[in-house]
Amino acid sequence: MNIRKIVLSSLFAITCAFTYAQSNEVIDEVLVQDKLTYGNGAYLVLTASEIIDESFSLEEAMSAGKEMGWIKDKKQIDAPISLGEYSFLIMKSFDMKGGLFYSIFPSPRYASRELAYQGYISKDSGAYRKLSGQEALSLIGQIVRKRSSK
Amino acid sequence: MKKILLTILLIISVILPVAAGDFGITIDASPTIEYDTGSTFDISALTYTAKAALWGNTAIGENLIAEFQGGYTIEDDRIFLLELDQLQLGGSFVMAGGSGGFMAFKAGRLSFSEFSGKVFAHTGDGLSIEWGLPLMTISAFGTYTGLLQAPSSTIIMNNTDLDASNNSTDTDSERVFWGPLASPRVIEGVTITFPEIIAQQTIIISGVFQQDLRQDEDLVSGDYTLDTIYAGFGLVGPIPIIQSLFYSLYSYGSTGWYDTNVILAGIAGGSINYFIPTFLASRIVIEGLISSGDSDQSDFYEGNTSGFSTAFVPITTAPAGVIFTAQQTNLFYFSGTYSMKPFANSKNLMLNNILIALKGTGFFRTTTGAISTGGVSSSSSSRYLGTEINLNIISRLLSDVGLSMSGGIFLPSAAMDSTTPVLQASMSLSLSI
Repeated sequence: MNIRKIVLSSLFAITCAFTYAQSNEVIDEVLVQDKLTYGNGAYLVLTASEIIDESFSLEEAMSAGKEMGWIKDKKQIDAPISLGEYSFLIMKSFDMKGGLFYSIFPSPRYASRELAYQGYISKDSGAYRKLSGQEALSLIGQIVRKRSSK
Repeated sequence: MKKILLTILLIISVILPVAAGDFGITIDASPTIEYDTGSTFDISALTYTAKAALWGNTAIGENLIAEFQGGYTIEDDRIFLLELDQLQLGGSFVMAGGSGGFMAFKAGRLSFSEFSGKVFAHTGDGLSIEWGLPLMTISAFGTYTGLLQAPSSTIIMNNTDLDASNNSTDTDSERVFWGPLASPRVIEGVTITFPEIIAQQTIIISGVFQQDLRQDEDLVSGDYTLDTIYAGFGLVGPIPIIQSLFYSLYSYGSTGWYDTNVILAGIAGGSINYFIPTFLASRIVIEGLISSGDSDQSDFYEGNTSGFSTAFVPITTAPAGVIFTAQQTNLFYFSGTYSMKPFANSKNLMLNNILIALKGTGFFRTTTGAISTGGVSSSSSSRYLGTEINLNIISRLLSDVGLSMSGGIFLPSAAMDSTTPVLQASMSLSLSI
């Protein structure tokens, strides 16, 4: 093995270790959150939908969400995200189709109802309520599992 | 009253979108065609109901939730009606000490019901409390019905109530928002439930009390105020031998008094439910009900002429049929329903949600006395009244669009004045905004 290959392999291992550590750190933080924040919500959804890489920071995930117009510019990274806004991020990121009013007025208001209709949200699907980190992980986990089984 | 309701509507429609709850608008439209095959078909066979409702809910702290629903209804025989369906504050609290007990309450305008729904199930203004203990659950409610609008009421216990119900279908253009108020009554209920006490069997004991707050002089000639008491017993649970087979039984004995007459009557019924989830989410339901009648009645309401009045008088009507809508008095019926989701295995949600149900019901009277809908030949002594068959197709096409279609036929027996079959078809479209 020449020296170039050794350096590249080491670099790859370090990068993988870093990204693994990054996503694990976010998940650990999310698990104990009573109210999921915009930053963590954007990171979870955008990495799960492979729009951004796991190595991205929360700030970069938030910026990506804002650039695509799925998160309003004025929203702060540490502010709690609502169930509707989180659902809207999921529907946009995974390019999911919605009901009649979602098709006409795509918005957080109809996104959480759509996910409830599709069976992902079993309790209160009110768009304006906040969700915990565990609920957010469970929701995104169901989406990823169902889409990977198709 | 009107100002209060309008103020409440205004406050809620402003506050709810700001609060961390949810709100929305539902629109339901239901045209129906009913046609007696013995008559000439004309446009009067078509009736319709359309309702637009605003609803909302918001959590208040950890334990409380406020809910609201109010709507505007248009029907073919009444121009408009604005009604407050629900305005309630509810809460639930875990009892201290780790006993596993809980206390829950709801107050305001809400739906009240005793456990079977065959004696009383209605909206009203009042309070409902539930107290969960390790061995039993005790629930109690008290409600007043005099602030409801008469067209929204299904409490018909004498001819005055019947007249009010018929007169509430008013096309007077001035009645844009309000109908007359419903009869002022107070209804209280107490239920003690022993959940899964022996072999997963749940025992229910219930008492319901109804007082008419009017005076005799407020009623139509020949009517008297009627106060009633009901004592009930129920049994619910799985049938251990066969998996997914469940049953429920209920019975009520009742007494009451009007003028010099005393009521001694009863009702009993039950159902067996069999679920076959692996075969197109199938469900088979067999249901029956028997209620006492009085063969010496001169009139269906308060018409006793001899001895005790033995006709069972429920507080609210709960018809088993869609075309034949006799209330549960002097009635025996037996029905079988099979429902299934023909596309239960489809990954397409629109198809997956389609439910088809076929129901057949045979109707009999328990005595040769009158039934609530009339139409029985006075010369007939037959107990058999007819058979109704209904087919329903229900689907939630999209998350915010629902569509259901139903068709039915009632085949009257020779005991009825008209023996020609009656057909009915209806469609219901609902939008959730």
